[in-house]
Amino acid sequence: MSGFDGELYLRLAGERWLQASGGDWSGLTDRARALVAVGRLSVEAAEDVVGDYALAEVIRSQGPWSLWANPASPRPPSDYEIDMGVRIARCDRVLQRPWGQIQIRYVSLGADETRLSAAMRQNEAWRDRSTQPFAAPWGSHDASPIVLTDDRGTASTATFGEFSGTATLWAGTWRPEQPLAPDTRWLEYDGERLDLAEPLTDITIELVQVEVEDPAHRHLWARVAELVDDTYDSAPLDVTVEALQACGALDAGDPTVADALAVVVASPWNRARRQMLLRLDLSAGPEPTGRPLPEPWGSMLQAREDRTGSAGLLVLDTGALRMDEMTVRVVAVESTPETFLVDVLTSGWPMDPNSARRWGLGARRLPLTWWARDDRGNHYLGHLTPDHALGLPGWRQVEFHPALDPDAAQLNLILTGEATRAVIGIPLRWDAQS
Amino acid sequence: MIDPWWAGLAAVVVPVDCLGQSHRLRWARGQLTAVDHPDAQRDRPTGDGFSCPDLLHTWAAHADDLQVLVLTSRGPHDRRPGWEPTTTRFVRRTVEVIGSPGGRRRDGGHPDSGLPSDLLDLMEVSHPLAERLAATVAANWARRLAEDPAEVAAALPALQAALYGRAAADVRDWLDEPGLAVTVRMLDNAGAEALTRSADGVTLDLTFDWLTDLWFRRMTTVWGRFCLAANATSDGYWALTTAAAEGGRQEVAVISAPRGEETAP
Repeated sequence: MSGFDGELYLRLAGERWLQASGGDWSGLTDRARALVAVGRLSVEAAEDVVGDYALAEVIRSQGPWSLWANPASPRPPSDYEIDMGVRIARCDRVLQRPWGQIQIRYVSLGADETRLSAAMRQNEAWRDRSTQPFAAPWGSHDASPIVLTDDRGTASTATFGEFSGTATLWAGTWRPEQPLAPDTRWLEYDGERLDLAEPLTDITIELVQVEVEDPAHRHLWARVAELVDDTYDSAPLDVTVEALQACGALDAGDPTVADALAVVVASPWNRARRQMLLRLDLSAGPEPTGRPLPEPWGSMLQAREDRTGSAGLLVLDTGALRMDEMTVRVVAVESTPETFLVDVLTSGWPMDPNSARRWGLGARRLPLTWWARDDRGNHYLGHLTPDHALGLPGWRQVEFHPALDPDAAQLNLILTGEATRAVIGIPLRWDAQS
Repeated sequence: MIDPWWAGLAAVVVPVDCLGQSHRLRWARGQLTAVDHPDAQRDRPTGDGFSCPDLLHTWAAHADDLQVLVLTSRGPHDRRPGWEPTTTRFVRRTVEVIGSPGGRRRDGGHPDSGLPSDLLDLMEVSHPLAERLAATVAANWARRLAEDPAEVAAALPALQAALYGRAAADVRDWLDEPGLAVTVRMLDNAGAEALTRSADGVTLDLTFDWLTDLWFRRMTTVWGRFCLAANATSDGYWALTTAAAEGGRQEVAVISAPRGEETAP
């Protein structure tokens, strides 16, 4: 659209937002992200404008932002340069405890750091014994330190942290104070021997260039993917559509808009806020409700309600995959009845998208989108879990929905960056490791 | 633009805690002075902890900073930035967070936060003083715009937004229609100011000078009419071009230009 000025559009939106007493600025950042996505404004200019108006709002109000006053609040991480050469070892052990089980998921052994990923599951008998609210599966809030020992006899006290989970299942990381031998054949966990094995290697990896796609449609569907699973992003899709239409990147009557909104409205998370999401003026296009959902969205959303996955863990190692300006290494896939989780180690991540969205200031597109497809024709959509799920620089966890089809024998993880797509083929041989 | 841009703006004197002493900053005739530091330099912070000269430096450093127009008030009905002691601490911590994504750094800001801590300090001293700084910024840009519009092309979005935010707030307040749709078209200096009312709302055609000539002087309405422009006449008067709420024919109101230096206690 000739004559469209992206900075002016965003600044005028900022003025209107300030005069409407500010509040949630995700509407402003969503406009900024849309303009950046279609090349109508640079990331730097967009973030400068949003930052200025966010600051103007902050100095006018304090109540809604009191959470931000916590000095311990995380700041958006900057570029991480992570040691991608760590050894990943699987460990097929489940340790029994009076309160339940400790499943050792895998161990990463680097020259500077050792981390042991573990899941603590409370047993039925223990569930009524805890008297503390919000206690961990073992009944208290703190996990006592353990001692980890390698095959050279190096012993180090390890503490449990970076955990997440529910009242009956906590997943987290044991980290010894000093690193253990990266090539150790086994570890002792408070005296219990844990034999280490190599991860799955019979995976396939294909790196391809991303085909050229309409940037407005690409961004619109990326926003749909966020809104389908996002429980804290309150900005409806209409802000994105308005910005894309204002800059001429999207036609007013484009039927993709109604398709996109139909998917958002149909998602389980969003049913409760259907009215808010339906604010979008679709006078120039078809109604979103009642229309068949485009695939794979329709079958994927239906499967969220119908399917129960089986439990299993696969430890694998893709090695370091170069994805545009960053490096990604997939190390584990864990299936649960409700979802499946993929653990990844990353380096050069431009900005943590979860943090950017939480603080509401990031204007970049998400550096990677996460999809998966199995050999039964099912599709899955993944999102990064909040920072604390794995908690350490470079380590991230992606949660996929719906649950993994128990009859699937092969899973293709599809990681798409700005210019590169990786398709990682994983045979689902749960019996080999679970 | 009415020359000088500060004509008629009342002087402001504010107390400043300067190393435990109660000192005064005085703004008058477009200039900020440290009354108790007559030799204060503006070109660099002193680094010795004296607030008055550091604030003078901050003033000079931000005298054409467009961010000032974003942060400062849009008028009497804007929410007043809260600068109580607890609020200040709150803001300090908060801005540490929100300043980082853009990574912008300005002179005097915290080197890690990318935020204008010095500007926030100045705004904290006094709301009227912050208003005078915003007027200074607007006047500097109005002058540049008049001298060489092409040179300031990159700043036009910020200038237009500054004009829009203040004009839209004032016209909504004037008509007592908070939800009124307002469009502001920024004219070049040869443009014809206008107020047009339609079923869709109000459209204002204004030059950027409207801010310095009228808005910062709190002269945007007179006799219940909206002021679109001000021009100095040769016989010592200001002619205000005004419009009624329904738009239509414009009328000119004439007032005496201010005479003499403004005084302040």
